Amino acid sequence: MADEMLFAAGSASAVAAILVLRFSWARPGRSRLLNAAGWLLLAISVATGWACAGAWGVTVISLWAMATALVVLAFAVWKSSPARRKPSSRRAGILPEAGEPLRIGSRFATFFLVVIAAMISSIGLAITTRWIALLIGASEANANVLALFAAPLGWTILAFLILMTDSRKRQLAIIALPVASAIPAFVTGSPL
Amino acid sequence: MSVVIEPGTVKKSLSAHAAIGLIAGALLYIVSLTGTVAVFYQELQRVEQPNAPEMASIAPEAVQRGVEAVLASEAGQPSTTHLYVHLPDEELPRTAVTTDTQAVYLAQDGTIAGPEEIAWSDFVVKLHYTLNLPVLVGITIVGILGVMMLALAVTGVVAHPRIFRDAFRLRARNDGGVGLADWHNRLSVWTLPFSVAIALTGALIGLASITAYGVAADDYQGDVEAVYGPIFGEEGEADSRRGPVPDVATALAHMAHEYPDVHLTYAILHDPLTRGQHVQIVGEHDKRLIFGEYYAFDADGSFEHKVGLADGEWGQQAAASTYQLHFGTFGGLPVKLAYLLFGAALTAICATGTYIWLGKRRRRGIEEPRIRGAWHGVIIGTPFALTMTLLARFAFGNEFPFAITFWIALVVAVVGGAEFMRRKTVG
Repeated sequence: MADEMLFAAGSASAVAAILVLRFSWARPGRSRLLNAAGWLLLAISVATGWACAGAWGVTVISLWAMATALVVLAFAVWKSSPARRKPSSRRAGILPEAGEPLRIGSRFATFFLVVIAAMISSIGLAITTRWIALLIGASEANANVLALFAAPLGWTILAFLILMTDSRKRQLAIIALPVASAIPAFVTGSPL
Repeated sequence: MSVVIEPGTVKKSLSAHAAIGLIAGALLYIVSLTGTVAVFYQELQRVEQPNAPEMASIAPEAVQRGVEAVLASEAGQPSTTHLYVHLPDEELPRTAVTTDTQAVYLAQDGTIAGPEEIAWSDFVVKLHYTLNLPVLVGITIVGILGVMMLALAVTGVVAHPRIFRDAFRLRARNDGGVGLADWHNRLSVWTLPFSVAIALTGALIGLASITAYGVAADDYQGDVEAVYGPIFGEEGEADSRRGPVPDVATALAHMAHEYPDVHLTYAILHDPLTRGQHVQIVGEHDKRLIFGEYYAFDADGSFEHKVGLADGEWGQQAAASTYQLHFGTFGGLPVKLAYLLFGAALTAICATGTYIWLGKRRRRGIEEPRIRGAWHGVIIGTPFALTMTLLARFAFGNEFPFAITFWIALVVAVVGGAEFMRRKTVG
């Protein structure tokens, strides 16, 4: 019963956090006090969720916070007045415009690097992560799960870095680094 | 609060965001939409086949009778490698037995009540999991889409320097592009924890196979199952010599007596009717993200051990938590409704991204009726094709070719949309 009361208080804190942040960010001037209060309430709600029910508690608390934000946004939709601001026409630079070369080879090369090469590289990163985890004493189960998490997370970072880099050489270096890091794992074999 | 990011970084990030969104946008939209529908997999089964026997619980002896009846019905055929008994729960109060070759419902007394006919619900789940492609290829592509969704989240945040100042600004009454961009950005920001959780768990589930191949090649002599063994438990030693029907009733009775607070969801028979057979009971724990704990029994129903998904290594608990977190099945109907809301928001984010890009190009004087029409085709055609297959399910039955119909309808919608918009522009 006490746990349920505490969890309800944590949920209420999540809702209050979003409302306080809404109030704070709508003011013409910045209020450090209100901002801090909003973030503190959010931190309290997450800590309460964890204390009551671990990862399940944090997840449910975050659902409360997100749902509250969407309700606040629904009010924003209802109260919105016609926008006077001119919409953006900023170029994203994805397709060529009139008179510009298609650069199809370069585009395919970037696609290859982000999808195929980064996939291979992220698996290399997963193998390295597992190898290091085992070396520092992680159990086999934990090391294998770390590898399974490392692949998608590593690939995300690689994709971001490649697309943020103009130099092809630097892109290749970004791809090569995780692959090279897996060589000791292949050469020395299992630390198990 | 302000976050200072260099204008050049913002520009590059916006380009990266647009590039990923344009290349993966259509598939991300399909996967998001079908994932939102698939949250209600259990409920859809009840709608699809409303007359199946339902029960709040089933006696262990009735389950035993059902298992014996199903195994007897397959006498003379190659033995099934696994037999799954879905035990009734609040969301799906039905007992179903699935083997390698068939799926049937059990009545309350354990007699076979008839075939399970949920091909449409299964089609939606397969569409989400594998895009109806062969499993390894499909699930890997969907895993890649999860990675791309994560990369979209990262690039989207970096490309949005006024993320906090604009957090609650939604100028919906503007059809010149500002409103659409506000919808896209505000929904993205406020569903970010959900989107990241869904994308990461989806990417992990989808890419687990190829990652496991890599790890197995490095350290397990290519044995992929050995990668999963320390996490989800090892398969027992196979012994194909003939054995008796395993005692599931004793195992279930043991669980009811020793673990009364655990909600039993499945009884799984490995290599039934062989000497190597063993039984696993899957039990859900209250207020946990894990899909359950595996309780292992021998063929006589004697308890052997727990695998440790509930209280073992943190890696085991984390891996076992990805499925419920992804599908929203950890808190009953309220959590499913929250997933419906956030899933719909995620689907809308996928849909609006390409429209924003097309709008910017139009404002620079570049008209692309074919691309715009094709995108209309994806956005309208996907829910239309799904609805068509559902209607076909009720009109023509369980055997209807849902996957091929869906994809043909979608291609027609995309091509038709492109052609319609081209003619409209020319005219």
